[in-house]
Amino acid sequence: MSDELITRTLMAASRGEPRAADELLPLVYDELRRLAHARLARAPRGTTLQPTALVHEAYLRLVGDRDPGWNGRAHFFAAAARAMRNILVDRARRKASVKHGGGRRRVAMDDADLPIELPNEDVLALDEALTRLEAADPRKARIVMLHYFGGLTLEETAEALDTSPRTVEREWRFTRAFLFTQLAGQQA
Amino acid sequence: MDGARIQQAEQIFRELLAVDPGQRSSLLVTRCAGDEPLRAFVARLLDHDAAGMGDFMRRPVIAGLPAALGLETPRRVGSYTVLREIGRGGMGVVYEAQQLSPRRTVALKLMPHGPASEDALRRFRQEAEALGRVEHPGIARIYEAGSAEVTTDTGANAARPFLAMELVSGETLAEHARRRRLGVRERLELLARVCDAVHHAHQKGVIHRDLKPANILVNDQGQPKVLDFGVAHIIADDPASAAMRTSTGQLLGTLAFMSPEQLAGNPWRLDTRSDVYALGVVAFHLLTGRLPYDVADLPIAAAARRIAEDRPLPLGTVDRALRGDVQTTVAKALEKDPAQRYASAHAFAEDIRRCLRDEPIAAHPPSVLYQWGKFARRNRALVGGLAAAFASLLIGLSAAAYGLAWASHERNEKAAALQAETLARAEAEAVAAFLADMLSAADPKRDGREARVIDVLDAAAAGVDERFNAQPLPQARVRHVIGTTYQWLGAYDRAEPHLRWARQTRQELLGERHPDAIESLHELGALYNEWGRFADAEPLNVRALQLSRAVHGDVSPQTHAATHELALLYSRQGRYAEALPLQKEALALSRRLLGEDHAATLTSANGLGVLYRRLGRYDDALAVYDATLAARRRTLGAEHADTLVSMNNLAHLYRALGRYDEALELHAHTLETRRRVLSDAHPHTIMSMDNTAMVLADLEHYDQARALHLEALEHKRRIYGDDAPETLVSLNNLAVACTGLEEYDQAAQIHERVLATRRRVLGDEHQETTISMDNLAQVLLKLGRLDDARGLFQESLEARRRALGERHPLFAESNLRLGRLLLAQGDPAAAAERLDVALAVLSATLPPENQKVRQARFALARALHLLDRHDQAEPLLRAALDMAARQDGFAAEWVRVSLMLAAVLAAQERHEELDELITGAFERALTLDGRARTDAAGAFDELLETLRRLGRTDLADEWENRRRRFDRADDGAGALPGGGPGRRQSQVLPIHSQVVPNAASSTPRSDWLTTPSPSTSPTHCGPLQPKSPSTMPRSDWLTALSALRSPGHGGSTSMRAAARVFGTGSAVTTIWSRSLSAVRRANGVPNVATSVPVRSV
Repeated sequence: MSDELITRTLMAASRGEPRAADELLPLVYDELRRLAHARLARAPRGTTLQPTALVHEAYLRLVGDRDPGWNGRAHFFAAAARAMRNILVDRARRKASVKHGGGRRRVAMDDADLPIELPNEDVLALDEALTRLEAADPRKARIVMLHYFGGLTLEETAEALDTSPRTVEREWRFTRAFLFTQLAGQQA
Repeated sequence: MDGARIQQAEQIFRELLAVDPGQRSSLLVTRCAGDEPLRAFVARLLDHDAAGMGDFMRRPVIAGLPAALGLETPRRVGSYTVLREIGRGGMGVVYEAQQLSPRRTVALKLMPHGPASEDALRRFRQEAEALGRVEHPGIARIYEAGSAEVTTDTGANAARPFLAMELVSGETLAEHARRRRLGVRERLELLARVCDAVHHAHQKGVIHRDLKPANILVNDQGQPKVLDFGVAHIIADDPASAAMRTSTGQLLGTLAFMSPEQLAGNPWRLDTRSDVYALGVVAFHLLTGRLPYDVADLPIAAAARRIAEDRPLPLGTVDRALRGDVQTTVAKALEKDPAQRYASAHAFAEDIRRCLRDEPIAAHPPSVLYQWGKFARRNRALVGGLAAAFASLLIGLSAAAYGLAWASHERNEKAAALQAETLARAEAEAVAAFLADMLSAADPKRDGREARVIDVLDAAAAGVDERFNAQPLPQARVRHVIGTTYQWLGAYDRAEPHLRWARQTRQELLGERHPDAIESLHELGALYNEWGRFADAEPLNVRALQLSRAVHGDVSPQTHAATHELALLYSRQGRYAEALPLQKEALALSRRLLGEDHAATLTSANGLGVLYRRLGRYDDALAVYDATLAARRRTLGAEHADTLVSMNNLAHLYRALGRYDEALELHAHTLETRRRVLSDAHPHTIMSMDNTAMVLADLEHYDQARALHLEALEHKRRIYGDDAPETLVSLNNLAVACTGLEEYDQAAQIHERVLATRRRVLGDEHQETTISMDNLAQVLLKLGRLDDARGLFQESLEARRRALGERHPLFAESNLRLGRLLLAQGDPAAAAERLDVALAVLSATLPPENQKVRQARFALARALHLLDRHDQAEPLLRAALDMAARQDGFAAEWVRVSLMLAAVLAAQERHEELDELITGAFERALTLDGRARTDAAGAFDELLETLRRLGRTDLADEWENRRRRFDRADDGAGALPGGGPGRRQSQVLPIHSQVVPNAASSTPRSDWLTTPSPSTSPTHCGPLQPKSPSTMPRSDWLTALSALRSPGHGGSTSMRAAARVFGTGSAVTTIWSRSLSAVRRANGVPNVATSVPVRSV
């Protein structure tokens, strides 16, 4: 079962095994989608799913009460952040295509539109900017992922990156402004 | 912007932030040294930074880690003030909290997330209220349940469900015992008090479901207190939590305390005895500090298997002081079969107190039986189903206890009771000794190879007479054990003399009303029932039910077993009408005793639905299934195992109704849910795989079907072993999918293997064995081995005649299959004989519109027509026409029957109705498409053929002309027969990709041999003489078959192949040729002369 697997993977990631962190992503991603479908199946039409609630539930389902320690939790949230980014981008892209007359395509249920609550930011533009940033300055992109997508505090982000909170605070301040210019530039 | 550039910008950005804002722009110019784009970029960064950028990226997508995980301690929950955290688990966090009114300190359990719905919340409150009525000093009370807003330091959160309970300050049972250095006696006394408390709750109808040492505290006064009584259940009612509960993390802590039935994931089978089991584990743990099974380092599935199969560690092996009665007492609580455990926590407490008083206990030492059980399990791979044999062995000895109860009940005399007890003990000991001898004789270590159970039994059976020469009752018990074991091995003939002997002896010596005598009666009846000797079984089953009612009462387990057995018998006999009231009676009883929505009642209702389905009363079945499903959803939740059973059954019914798309959707949903909620390897999940795959095969997605069957097969081989009946079911289905994929050699190979194994394991006459014969025969038909196929059909038919009798629907089906084959092989006389039987029995057991009844009716009419018995064919066809006219969606059949009737009337020179019949058929035919339309064309051609054969060329020509007018009146594409090869195209539901991730899509195709129906049957070809197809090159045969399936496709090649296989003058070739002409005509292709001379029949 995937939950056994995930505990093992979380432990491995905590021990610093590099591949473990990559293996986490599909596990968490699948779980999030499965949960979203399950939630939708019993929710009334028009329900919007909260990313936080979903991740929370996924955590409880996958990890339960076997607390993998702070480090393990942080790894989980890092994976959840990446998964949620994919899901949100997907959702935003779909919304955009409907708006532009992309029409309704018959899609497999797996690809079905998940009504996840979108953040206020322009997800698609942000994703593009972030992708560029990942290539140019991976460390800053990682701060964005952990802090903005994954909800780690700056202190926790620093801990996850094994650096001082002050450094992360400074970098975050710059990165936020940087991304803001990128997004503002796109709109102009 | 590349990395170096960004870092450059960042460097300057930081430097500037450190200086006074007034100096920034000049410094910026200096630092950028003429790089204008860089300067402009950093300037913008600084501007944005100074402006604050509003909310931009301030609120994370996933809110903070600690808050999200509920790691923050709330300050308030509704009107409760939270004082501190006491404990946490997957099911929520428990706080110590202050209640305002009444003012008291409580334990507040906060669920991890909000209620799934208003409904769920209401149910949660109601059930908590019920729990609140349980008041006992040994149980922590439930005060209040509801949903309240949670306030944390960072603000108010959404409402979450909570439970307020009596706060128990104390230590766990184990801590208490260790700290106070309690001795065995004191520990036993403590245990008995825990049992008392649990029993009290049981009497109020509340089951704990999650008893474990962590849930039992001892307070300062030394009073044990059981926490969370029934809480697991009401929390699990919320589907989200229910799903969560099955997550590994949740299971790990409690696995060791879960009973085998609980581990089997069958919640409705949980009852108070599951708590008794958990109490047994608690006792074991308290007495030894260890668990009866060492599951600590095992994966979940392996741990569950160990608990379900292995013998628990005897207490005495951990601590020699605990050998004897204490060991026996705890072992009885730990029995795998709930029926073998103490019937109540009270009974367990009684025996514990008997141990303390050094009085004889009610439990019997089970050691020899355990050895037997182990032995049986070792051999299970060989024989299958032997775990059940083990259970029957245990029943044998516990009957001694019944005997005791019966004696005191019936005579109410102490002396008699004592005597009975002594007798029972002597008997048990004699039997135990004998079995031990048997076992040592079969000890694999002695001759170095694994002895087969059946060899051991044979040896034992041979010695039993001598050994128990003057002890009839012990001998009866041994024979009972031997007999039931033979029965489980499927060696019915060897079982019978032993069970008969036991029954007779017990009846004579003990009287008919003695529980042992009733037991023997029941067992012998069950043997005959399973054997298929229904006539012998019936009087025994009936009597066993009467006696059980009289002696054990209407609501006893014995009476239930007897009722069940009798309903089963009737059902197997196809006597659904008699099975029905029994099933209804069970349902009514359960309703009265347990209420409308009780899980057991819903299970009975479900059983009724199954019966309705078997009866072909699909509407009733649908109503029952719908209602049961709704009730289970409501009371158990959408993802409860029972709810999923209902979904599975409903989907199965959809399949029977031909609503394949709905069936597939529901099966796939059930499968997906079961995978998630129960795990991939759960038996229910595996069953869903098979069922989903069967519908996929119906819809001709054979690739996907095969992938799923393969998955199911892998699981089953691991769980049940290669030769187990369950495994064979999947293997059989797999072969059916292979048949669909036209991998006939492979399919035949698999079917042959399944058939051989079933013959060996189940016997030649077992229903499943006969199903294998039929399936293999179907493939042999494909391979052109018609005579071999006929041989198997015949064998299956004879087996069913003997095993099921001539009134059984399966016997009728055999007649139908054989009859149709005979008809196709050109022997209408023999066919008519078979079909006559088929129709008589089928129409007696199934509704007239049932597909099989229709097939039988139509095939018989055809056979009679070919035999020139038109007067007999006519009423059948009129009935068929009448029926088809009344049903929607039977247009194709209506057309076919009309044309056939026309042929029959024409043959009798009765032309008065012909015009009406044929015109009507034409008009309806135009509404058809696909294969139905092609078939209609074929049927029409056959009518013309008949007319010409009768010398009525004039009529034939006239209708030929009129048909052309019909064709022209239509717009070409819709002309008769048109529509191409008539393949059923089904929608590929998107959900497939989830069910079978990697299955390649398969080409839909149809086969008249695997899905015989009047519309696709080749029997309308008239007599044909295959030219020893078994010796034909297979490719020819296949080409010829494809010509049959889709006339007009494949052109002359197929026709030549058909001619080679069937002979140029055969009806197959003829009909093919005609159809080809018709297709060409319809497509405007001139009817070129073919190289094969066509002769009419």
